[in-house]
Amino acid sequence: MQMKQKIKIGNFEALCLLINMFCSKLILDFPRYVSEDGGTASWLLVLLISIVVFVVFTFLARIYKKFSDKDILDVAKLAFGEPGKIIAGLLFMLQFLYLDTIVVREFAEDIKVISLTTTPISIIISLFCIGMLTGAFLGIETLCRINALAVPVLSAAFIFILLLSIPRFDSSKIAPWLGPGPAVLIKKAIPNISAYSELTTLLFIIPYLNDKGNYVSIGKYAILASGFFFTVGTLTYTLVYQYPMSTEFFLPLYQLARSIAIGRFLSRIEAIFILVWASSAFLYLSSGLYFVTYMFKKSFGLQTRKPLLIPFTILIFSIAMIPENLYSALRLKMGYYRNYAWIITIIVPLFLVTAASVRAKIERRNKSDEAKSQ
Amino acid sequence: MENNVLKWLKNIFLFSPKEPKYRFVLDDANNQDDNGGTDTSRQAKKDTEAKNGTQPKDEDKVSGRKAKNGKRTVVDGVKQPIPINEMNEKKREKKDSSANALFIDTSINVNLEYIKQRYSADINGDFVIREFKVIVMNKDYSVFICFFDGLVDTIVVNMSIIQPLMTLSTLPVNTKDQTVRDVVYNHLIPQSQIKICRTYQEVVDEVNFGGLGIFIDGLDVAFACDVKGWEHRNVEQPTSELNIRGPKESFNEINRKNSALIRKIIKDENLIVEDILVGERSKTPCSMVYIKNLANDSLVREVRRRIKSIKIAYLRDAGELEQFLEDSPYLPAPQMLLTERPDRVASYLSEGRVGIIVHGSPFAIVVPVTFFNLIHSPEDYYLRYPYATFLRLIRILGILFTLLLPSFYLAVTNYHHEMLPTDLLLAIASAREKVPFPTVISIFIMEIAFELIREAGIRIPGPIGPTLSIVGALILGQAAVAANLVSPILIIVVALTAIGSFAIPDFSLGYSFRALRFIYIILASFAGLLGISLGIFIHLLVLVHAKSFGVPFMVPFAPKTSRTRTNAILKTPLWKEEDRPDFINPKDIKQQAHISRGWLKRRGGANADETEDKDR
Repeated sequence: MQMKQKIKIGNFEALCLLINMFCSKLILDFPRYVSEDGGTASWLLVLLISIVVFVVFTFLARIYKKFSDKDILDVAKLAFGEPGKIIAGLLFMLQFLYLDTIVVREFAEDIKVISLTTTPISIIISLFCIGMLTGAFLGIETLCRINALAVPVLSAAFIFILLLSIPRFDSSKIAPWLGPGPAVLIKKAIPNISAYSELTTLLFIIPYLNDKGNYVSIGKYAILASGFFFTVGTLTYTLVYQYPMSTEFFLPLYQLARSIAIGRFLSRIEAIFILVWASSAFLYLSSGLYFVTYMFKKSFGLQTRKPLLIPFTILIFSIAMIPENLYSALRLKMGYYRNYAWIITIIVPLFLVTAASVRAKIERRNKSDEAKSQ
Repeated sequence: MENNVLKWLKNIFLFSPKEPKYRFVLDDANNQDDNGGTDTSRQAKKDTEAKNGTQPKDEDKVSGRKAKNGKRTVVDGVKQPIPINEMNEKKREKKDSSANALFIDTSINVNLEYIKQRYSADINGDFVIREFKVIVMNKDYSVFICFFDGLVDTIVVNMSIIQPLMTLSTLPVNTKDQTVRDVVYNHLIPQSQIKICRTYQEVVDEVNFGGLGIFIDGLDVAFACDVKGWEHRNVEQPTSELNIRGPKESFNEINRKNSALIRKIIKDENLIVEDILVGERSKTPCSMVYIKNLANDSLVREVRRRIKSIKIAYLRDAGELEQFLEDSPYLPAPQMLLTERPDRVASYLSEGRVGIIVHGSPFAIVVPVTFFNLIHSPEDYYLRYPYATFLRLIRILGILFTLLLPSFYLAVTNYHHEMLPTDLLLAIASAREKVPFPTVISIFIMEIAFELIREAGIRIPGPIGPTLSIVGALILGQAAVAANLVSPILIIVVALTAIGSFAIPDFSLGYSFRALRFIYIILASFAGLLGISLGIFIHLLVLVHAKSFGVPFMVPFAPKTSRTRTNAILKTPLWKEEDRPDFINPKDIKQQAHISRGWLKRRGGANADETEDKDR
């Protein structure tokens, strides 16, 4: 008797996957670059982004409802046939490939700066690649489950760091409250929507959810929880480091952890931060690699995904080695990715779902016309 | 050759096998019928039939058809049980119809010759054949009995087999209309367990397992009596699962004694002990133990299927059977619980799990288990919950020490000095000043030395055991520091690691962590805390991915399940454990009443049994 294993993802597991995918950038450079854009009102900027994403997602989820047993590539196929599926698949895949590549380089560079100063960057990236490959090999079910196990612990550690920073809070540091002004905040909010660019992953795991109809609440709760972490994290950072000083640290949360000093023994706890940080990175990168291979497999109708893992890992490793240094890697992210990723995350799915709905409607009308003529 | 190379390359580059790998998934028990189909599928079938305009087939009709075939009768829609005699007869017929079955001859000389040849009686020193005469219905019959000396209870053989056969036949018994076979069976062998055998193989199987065969001239059957009486250990105290509170009995090597120990605790007629023989040559009796109206049907079927499918020559111990049954042989953690405590098995059976007893092994297997079951001790249930919770936390700390302490020490001293307060850092630095080796080498020396001592400690003969302790303590402690091989702080680290490993309740899990800590040490020596993070990540991934008989290994946390989460790490009060673990899908999820302490008075003036409290 051969039994095909079904992939089943619970609501909490999917929620944790999304939260980690969104929030891992919080421990990289998110507070810093929103500080650059929003100044003292960076936390308001983050709040604004979260609200916008929440509203847009609610709308997207509403029009997606009729396709709730399909992933976004199936929807693309409905809208534009096989070529549509391939183009959309490649677009999403390239987005994740780009993201995974930059993030692996960023994490590796940061680890090198903090603790492994004499280790070559290629070795550090290789270590990340091993973890990434193992995670992606074991599949989305395992990844979601390990996220469910790790995210509560990581969240607790994150909140612990924020709480220990309270003694250094200074409310005058977030004045003026509206920073550069409402108009600038709104203008700067648009490219920063890319902070939620991993929302696309939800559109790929819908068919695997235990209760497919729950994707709406999973998405909403993930945005709410991540919005909370983003806002609180940025607010804490701004309350401790005043603008423009807050734009100078290349690892804001690490800096925050480093500055914690409560009593004789609760000082210099930033090394523990590495454990949290690396765990979050492994989870993020393996999920990213999984989706890259899944999207490629699905776009081209391949039977298996696992043979793609080693080639794509080598590809990610090779591309990650291209930037000369951390600054170049950051420029790739800030200069290009952040400005355009929101189009792939928000506009493309909206366009595909609308097109599929219109096409379905036209087909229904044609069928009824044919039936009438007969 | 070329194909093999291609296959090998495919395996290397992670190509999936064409056939999907079999993975058992434990589903809901309550929807299962006897044939393994679900109610939903049956309903769907009925719906389809209704749509097609055909009448859905009724259960009774199906059973009626079976009755026509002579398998099962249905009276008023209720399936009637098949009489045991009839069932045994059918089983025997089925067995006899096999090609290799050799039937017992009516001539005693032929039978005697066959048995002598089969057992090489001329050279087999412990095989006994005793010939004598028996009078049945005033006629002399030649008889011989055969058995293995040492396997049988000679008193029972003499008093309950030979003596009655020789003497009881003279008693005035009404033997009218009875055959010789019936007279012998009904009047002459006062034995509780006697079997009528038609083939030699049946007799041989019984004799090999401590039975006694009786052949009577003129009969085409033989009698096999259960007269087992071999030497064995008594029920003693557990040696590897010691406790202060709770029962102090442990299993021994006798299958039936072990099942009796469980039955002694669970006095329930629904407790089933299902026998399966494993091993083509050893024919080791194994027993699947489960509570019929609790254990999930699909789980019971899967355990039975796996055990029956094993094709080996010899099975000697439960540890061997475990390796043939487990889902992932390469997982660095046990996926079954092996325990020597009947109370522990009984407790798991009452949750709806399945136990497996192997004759010859003082350990019983329990399936399915989760990681958290393996870090529980049976004593947790006999202690008040605050103490049990405290002990569990201590155990988790022990696991963390065993797995991570040496690697963490290595990472901190080599890569993350900033973590240490300056005074401590200086103390470590000054202690290491004279040590010529890098920290990683020192750790390896000490850890390997400790493992050597531990392994030698198990193998060493009792009287010279203390010598090893002295030598070990000297090598590990004073001498190593005096010789500047290691720093004193490292001794503390190694000692804590060792103590931590002894706190792990499951022996097999302890082995797993002891071996894995070396990998963590290597990772930490390469990349500090990043290496440790990588190790933890991959370790957790593998554990999360694993399953024990269809149950995810890290349940109830990954995946998250609704109930029993609280009892995984922290112990809940016993009166709060109202439900059985839902991930096992037992037939009855309720373990105890919502208010199990009936003496409690509820708020609002009602007693626990919902009657009004008039005293209030």
